[in-house]
Amino acid sequence: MIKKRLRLYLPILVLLFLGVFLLRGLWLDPKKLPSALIGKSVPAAVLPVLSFQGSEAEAMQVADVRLLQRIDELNGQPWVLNVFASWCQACLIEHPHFLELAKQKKIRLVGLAYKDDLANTRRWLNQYGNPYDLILIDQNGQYGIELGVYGVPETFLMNSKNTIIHKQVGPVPTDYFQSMALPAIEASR
Amino acid sequence: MIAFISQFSLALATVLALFGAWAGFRAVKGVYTHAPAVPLLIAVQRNVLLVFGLVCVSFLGLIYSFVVSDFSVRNVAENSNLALPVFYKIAASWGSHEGSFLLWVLMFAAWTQAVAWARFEVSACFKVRVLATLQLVLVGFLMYLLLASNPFEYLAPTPLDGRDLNPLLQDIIMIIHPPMLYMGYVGFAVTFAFAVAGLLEGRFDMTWARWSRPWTNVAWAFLTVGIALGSWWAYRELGWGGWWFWDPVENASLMPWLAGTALIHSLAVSEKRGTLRSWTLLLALTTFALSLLGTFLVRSGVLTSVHAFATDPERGVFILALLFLVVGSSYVLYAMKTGEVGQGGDFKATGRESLLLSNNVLMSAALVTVMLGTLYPLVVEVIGARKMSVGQPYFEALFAPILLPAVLLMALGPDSRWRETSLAQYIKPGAVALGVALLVLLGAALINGHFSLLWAAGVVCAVFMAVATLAHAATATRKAGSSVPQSGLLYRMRRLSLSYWGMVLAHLGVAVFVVGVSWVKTFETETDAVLKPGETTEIGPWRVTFIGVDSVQRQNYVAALGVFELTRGDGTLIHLLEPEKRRYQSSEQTMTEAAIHTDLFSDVYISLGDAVQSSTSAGSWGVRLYYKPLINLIWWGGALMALGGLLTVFDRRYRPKKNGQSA
Repeated sequence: MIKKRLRLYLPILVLLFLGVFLLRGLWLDPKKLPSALIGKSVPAAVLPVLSFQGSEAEAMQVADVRLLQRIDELNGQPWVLNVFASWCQACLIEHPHFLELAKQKKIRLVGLAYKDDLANTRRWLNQYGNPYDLILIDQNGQYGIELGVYGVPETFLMNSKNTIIHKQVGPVPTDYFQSMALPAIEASR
Repeated sequence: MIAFISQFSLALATVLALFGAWAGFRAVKGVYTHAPAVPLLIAVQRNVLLVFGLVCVSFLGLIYSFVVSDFSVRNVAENSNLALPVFYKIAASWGSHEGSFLLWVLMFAAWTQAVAWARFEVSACFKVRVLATLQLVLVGFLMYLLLASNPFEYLAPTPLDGRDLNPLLQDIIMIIHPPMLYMGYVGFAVTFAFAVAGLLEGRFDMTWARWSRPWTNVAWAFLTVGIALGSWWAYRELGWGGWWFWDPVENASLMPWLAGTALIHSLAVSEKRGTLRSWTLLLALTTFALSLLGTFLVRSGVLTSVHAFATDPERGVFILALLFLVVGSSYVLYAMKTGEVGQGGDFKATGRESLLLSNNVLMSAALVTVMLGTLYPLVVEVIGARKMSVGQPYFEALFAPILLPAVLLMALGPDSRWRETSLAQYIKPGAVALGVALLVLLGAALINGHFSLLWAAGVVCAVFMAVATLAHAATATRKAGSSVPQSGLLYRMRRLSLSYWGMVLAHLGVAVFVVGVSWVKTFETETDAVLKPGETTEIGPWRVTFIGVDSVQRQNYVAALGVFELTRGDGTLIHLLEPEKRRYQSSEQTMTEAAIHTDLFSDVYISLGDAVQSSTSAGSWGVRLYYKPLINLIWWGGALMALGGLLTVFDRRYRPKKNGQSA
């Protein structure tokens, strides 16, 4: 008889069991895809640099960008590549963190203006502030494909040898640099 | 301003619903008789109406915010856009996480209101308990909306233009799909509330089962439509030619469907024979639990899926806590009280009870299969092993062997009697139907030229069941009018109950569905081709000639529009097919819009790939073509099932009795 009554508690036990996994599952980040690029060198490319000189009309013409940067020559110190765009709402969420980081001058910040109208990029940076030491342009998203970008913003962390050591999909959390980036740099030294 | 009013309405609705639930439960505590509860019932009913009205105001407010593009509401800014056609602006109201939850809540309030309005012969106390249970669950979801997922959240600075509604969702079917699905999910809450009220009262008589049957059937019918539409949408819109992907989110909607199917059948046993009571109660609770689990899986992002939208652990925890509170408390109640409910009488192995019980066993097996396949990757990942996914081969290998026996048993169902049926009763109609099924199989195999085991088993089971069901319906119709000589066919058919015809339709729907699936799985063909303008390729019985590609500009996208000429083997022109490759301007997303020509129940399906970039083949395009014989039977089957489910509700016995007449 007691056995039979216990059996009635089976559904709630099953629920509890499932619940433990569902709860734990919430903290697994489905976006934390194991990036194939981690541990590899940043893909080589020559990208135009966004210039703040001249009128907006001039900035709009990619052909007119005279400055080019080889990505694989950015080594020497750890650096961050932040893929952003002026049309990206979520970028506004992480933008203050980058401004804060820029003030501390602890790490080199490179922005990648992804599939963006250059005049808009400039206007956006003028309005919200420019944290980047260097802004590269990926107007047709070609370099984004090589990086495996599938949503903006994304942030890549490179060590001094240009190896990708961390990738963040979506806005970086408030403590990204304290808790994730700096330890990663320390560890990779 | 409108957004503020809407949000305020939600808050007010929460308070009122909480009050209604509290007052209702408190007033009927320890009371099981009818008379003193009537004024109370009226009060509770009015409160339900008020809550429903407030939720309506809030939902209309959200639609208004979308229509006038009020980008100071974050939800609008993130899911709408000035260039979006008004039609889609309205649909975008439930395209986002927050909006879809508000829709969920609206549906819930509507179902509660329907219960309040409906007349059924249960005691006023019982009805108060049902309504109070529903209100209490509603409070949980209103709190979720207000605290964790506010659809009216203010956004500053207000952007000049919004992002865009996900282009995948810009489709007419996608506008109706979520409401249908939610109607189903939420509809099971009514059965759930009936079960909880039954447990609270500690009695489970046949009236209980009788009056929860129509609600279960309607909810099930809506869920069926929702799932079928979702599948149709995936087929038309994703451009891969598939109609079911065993995606976690699809599985999430399939689980309550399977449980609901079992519930419908076990409720029949409980009502007519008073047995399987405890099991039926458990199923009623579990079906709603699975609906909530479905909502959780889709909306928390706990599983990786093409549907995964918002992924925010905080929200996930809230929904999970709600799920626990609602389901957990009902399971505890079940464990404590079901002993009082009792099991009911016994039955023999050959009776209808056994057949319906086998349905339950098979449905539960299917349910466990789906659940394992869906949650196993999560469990593995939590344990820390690795990312993995369980795919189509697992489900397909397990599903057919579980479902085909169910189809076979369905053939015997109508001929069975309650309690005990002599085996001879099954043999004669069964033998005839099986004969017909084998003949059909032979004929089809000769015409088609080739053959597969799945196809043969599917066709035999489906035809066998359809013929047996139709034969039973014919016999029953003939007998129904035998007391009235010269009665017409329609008269005789009307003498049989609508519940009966509903069953016949739904079962035929299953047969149609099974035929469709076995046909497509066996005979579909697929070709990838690179075509220059003027070139022709063949697919199935069709010849497809590539005319060229045009560029077109629409309200919110630009598209490459391919033009293909479809001709039969003998050269007669049938149709022009125009698949598109769209590029949505505001979000820069590209979408493939397949072109489909339906001929009877078979489809030719063309989706446009990319232009080939080389000097030798200028103007060439990659094209993917499918021939899908009888695929439309899948959705027609679904439609028949849903129609059958709906039909049962209009049965005479659920109509309110006129005053003075006795039952």
